[in-house]
Amino acid sequence: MDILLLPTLPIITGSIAIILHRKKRLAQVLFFLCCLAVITILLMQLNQEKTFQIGGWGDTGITVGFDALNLPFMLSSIIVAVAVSLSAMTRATYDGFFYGLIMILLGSLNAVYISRDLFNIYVTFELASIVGYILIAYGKKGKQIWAAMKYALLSSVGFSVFLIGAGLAYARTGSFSFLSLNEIGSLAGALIFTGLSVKSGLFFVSMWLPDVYDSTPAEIPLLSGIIIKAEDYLILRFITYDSFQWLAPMYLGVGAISAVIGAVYAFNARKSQRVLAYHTFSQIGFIVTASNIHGAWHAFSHSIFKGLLLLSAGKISERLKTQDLSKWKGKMTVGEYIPLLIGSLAIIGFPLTSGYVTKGGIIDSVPLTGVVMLTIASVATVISFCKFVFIPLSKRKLKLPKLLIMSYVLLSSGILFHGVIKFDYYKLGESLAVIGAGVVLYFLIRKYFRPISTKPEKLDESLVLFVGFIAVVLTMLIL
Amino acid sequence: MISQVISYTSFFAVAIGIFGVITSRNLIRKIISLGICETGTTLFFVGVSAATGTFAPVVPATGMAAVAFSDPVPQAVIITGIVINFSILCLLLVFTIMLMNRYHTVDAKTIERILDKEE
Repeated sequence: MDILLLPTLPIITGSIAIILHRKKRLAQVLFFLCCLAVITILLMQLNQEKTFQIGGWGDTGITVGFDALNLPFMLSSIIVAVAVSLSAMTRATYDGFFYGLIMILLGSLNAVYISRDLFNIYVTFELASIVGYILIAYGKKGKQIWAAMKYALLSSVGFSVFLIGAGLAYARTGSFSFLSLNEIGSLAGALIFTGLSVKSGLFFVSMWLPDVYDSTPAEIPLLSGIIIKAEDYLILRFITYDSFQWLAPMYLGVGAISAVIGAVYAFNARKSQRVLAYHTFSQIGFIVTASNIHGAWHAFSHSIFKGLLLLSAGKISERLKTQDLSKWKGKMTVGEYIPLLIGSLAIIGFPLTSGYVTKGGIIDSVPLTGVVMLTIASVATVISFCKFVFIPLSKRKLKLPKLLIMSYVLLSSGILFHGVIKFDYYKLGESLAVIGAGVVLYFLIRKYFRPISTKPEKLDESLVLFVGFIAVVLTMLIL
Repeated sequence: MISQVISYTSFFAVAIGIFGVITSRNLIRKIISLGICETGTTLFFVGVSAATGTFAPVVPATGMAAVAFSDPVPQAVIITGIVINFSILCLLLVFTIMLMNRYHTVDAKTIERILDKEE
């Protein structure tokens, strides 16, 4: 029964923090106590597998469970949440309400991870998304509200499609439980997959993402990043059932295309947060291409290194008041550069970082066409992160707040620890070859980088792309 | 029979809703279309529950009669869905009010043009 505490504890403490939101200190203390409790409960579940039903209703009732696929996701979301709140404590603009919202987000995401039936997934995931919309619009700037609006419209349409799929599954099997997911039929499978894909962070379907990343302050994209991971978890979970097996080539194709296009958009972009947003498309592509336990661990390492990158790049752009990478020349101090460097090394898969370990695992587990596409995407990733690594530094010293340094240390130690304990030699040559090729290509073609049009990210165009994606999947079903 | 009629009507409503969200430029219209789309999904669950019968699934005090009860589970779960949809519509309307106060328009294209110029 202790896994039921994982969602309920954060939601209850979060509600208390929201009620007492004028007492900011209390909210922060409650937040850290709650995180400590959740981590303790999570570590007690290590290497266990369990499913059980609440109430005496059998398959019609609520089923919850925990297994090896859950662990990387739950661990990464809590690490990122702690890092976010450490960084948020350095600002005066966030009151107790903010910490309460993070706790509710954490609790509802944990509920998504332990749920084993379709309707619970819908309810808990909508709760997480509503908190996400509020957090995105938290600064009340016009651009942020627009980003939240776009996200909410797109994902509500997606959830309607998902609900139709869930209803079809019920009509076929008489249950919402995952136990009957093998028999729900391919139409319901297609609707469930496409309906949820709008939040997955794949290119073509989640075009709301760059706007969210580039308009919000440094902490918020990390939180929207962990909501994305919840959806990727569902993709990875569903592929193991028969009704979704026919979608496997689709996963491979969409994932690989997203990996390459995202990286191409990224090395052409000029603004730091946009580069990182396009790289989310690319890295989620890696995860979905693999769709196995290696993908799950890549989601873990991606949450952490992308969190470090977003936090450090966001803080630099806030201090310099520009996201334009060409204007960062000679203004960045050493203290700000080190976390950016560690994050960049992890995302390009440099040895001894977590990116090297998990990317190696993914490359080993996908078919040949996937390997080719993902290698191209890796080279493109190296090209675009050369932009961050080869920025001249300033000699000036700047004192960073202690809490911010703690948050950087937490995320970087996660990256390095994961990279060192799982290190092995046999991918070393390959990884260094990819990095070498990327660096050489960067110096050859950097004159030709031009930002690609942002037209597909407009509201109507992104809706059309999403509906087009549903149409393509349904056409595949009929053929 | 009635179940199928309801289900196909609801698919039609969802399709109309999605079409409206895409084609209208006015944000309020977009939100109303989203409402139609979400009501369509609610209707679909009603259709699913009517597959076994149309009598209300309530046991009368005089004892059970052998009639075709409708399935209570989809009806029970979709109530949560209705509440969630309602809250999302409210949140979207709040965002629209905030955008209206800043930019004095509810036209999606115009707002996007203004935001592009802000950079």
